[in-house]
Amino acid sequence: MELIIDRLTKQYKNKIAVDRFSMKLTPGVYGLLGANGAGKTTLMRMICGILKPTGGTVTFDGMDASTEAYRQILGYLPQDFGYYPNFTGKDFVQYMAILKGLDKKQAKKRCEELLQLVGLSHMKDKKIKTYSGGMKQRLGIAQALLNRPKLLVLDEPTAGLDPKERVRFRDLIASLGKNSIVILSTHIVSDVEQIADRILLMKDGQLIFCGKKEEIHEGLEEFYLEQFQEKGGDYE
Amino acid sequence: MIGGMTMKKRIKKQLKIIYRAPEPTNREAFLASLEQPRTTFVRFLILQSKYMRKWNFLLAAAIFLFAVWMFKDVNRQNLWSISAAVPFLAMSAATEGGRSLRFGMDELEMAARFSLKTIVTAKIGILGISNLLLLGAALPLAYIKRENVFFYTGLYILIPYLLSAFLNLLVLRRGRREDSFYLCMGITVMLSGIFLVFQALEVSLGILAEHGTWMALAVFFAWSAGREFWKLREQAEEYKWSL
Repeated sequence: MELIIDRLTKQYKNKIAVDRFSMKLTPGVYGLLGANGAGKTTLMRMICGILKPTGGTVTFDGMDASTEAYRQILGYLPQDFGYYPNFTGKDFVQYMAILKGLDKKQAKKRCEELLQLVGLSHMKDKKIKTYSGGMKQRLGIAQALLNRPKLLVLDEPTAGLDPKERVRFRDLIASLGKNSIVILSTHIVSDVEQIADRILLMKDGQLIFCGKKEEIHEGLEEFYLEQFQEKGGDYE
Repeated sequence: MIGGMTMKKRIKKQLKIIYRAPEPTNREAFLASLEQPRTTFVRFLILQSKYMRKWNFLLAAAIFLFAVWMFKDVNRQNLWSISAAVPFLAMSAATEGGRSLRFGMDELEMAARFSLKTIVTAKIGILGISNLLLLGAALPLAYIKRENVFFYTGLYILIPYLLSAFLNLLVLRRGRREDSFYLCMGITVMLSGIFLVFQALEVSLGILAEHGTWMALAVFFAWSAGREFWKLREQAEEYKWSL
């Protein structure tokens, strides 16, 4: 199981959002860190095949990111997502299950299972508009796991989660990382520190560091800030 | 016999206590490795139609019944009333296809197996075709003696439908997601208003019918609507990226 990102580039007019990003990923959890505007979301969208790169390729076990077969093994949680009005939590997850190609019987069973996993069973028949931010995020995580993805891409997955939910989420991701490739992008350094097997640091569209946290001698947060201080870059 | 069955149950119960099944390990990995039953494309279309807004179909039925009622006492002028109603059918099909963008579901849908492109095609296709079939079913009900009823009713029904479809799809493709629904509504109301004004002014399209110009117009609007639909599909393949 291997995800190969080969010289992936996204250029828009006079801005290069992702600059010749190359990597080979095997099962495990990859934490993608970077400031706002570093290119994390653009990279993730290209990995998910929803944004066409200007150059380079993304393949999973030989399947190109633009193919239906690739999307069959993909689970994606975008940074922001909406929902159709009047959808309940259950409606939303079942709808996504249909789009992911699960058959009706399986979809129903899997929905129940995942809503229980993310702690939303008691809210499944309530409209999503009544959900808190954290609940919506958990719903998003549930839909990303519907098809037991071999490649799971999570953009800011812990945004809006309270500390207890974050711990629960970390445990879940750690377990998924054993058999799948999980890429999660975040601003929250502690999340990456706790879960990620490998850390990817992005700045100005480029990969400036890729390695295990043990390779970083100082704390990850100090290292992260140092990368942006060195070149006088902005960071938040 | 009964005693034997009771004994069997007791033994089973005792065995369960003594020999506990081990906890499953690598359950998720095992399940992920299995070939899961997948839904077919046809099944997907059927399921997708259940998620379309019901009012689309109610509107189509209402306009069909209105057309049937108008056709009972048909003349060139009251056909304009049907022309005024028909653009809303095209609008409903177009805006149904644009719902993903409007409600921010597009990014999630693009990454799914049956992606946004397929969803847009399915929704607009299902509604567009069903609307045309319904309108087509209404045509034979109009019968004007001594004149070619199909050409006239096609003129008054098909052209407004195709023109509305073209304009609504253009707005969906080019407009901002937040405003596109209201723009579509505005355009449709305007078109409808124009046809009502034609009715009030007793405008006749006889000239267009006699010279076959209506056919050219219908083909042009059909081609334009088809082109916009195709471009919308292509656009749905990729997230709109901007700085």
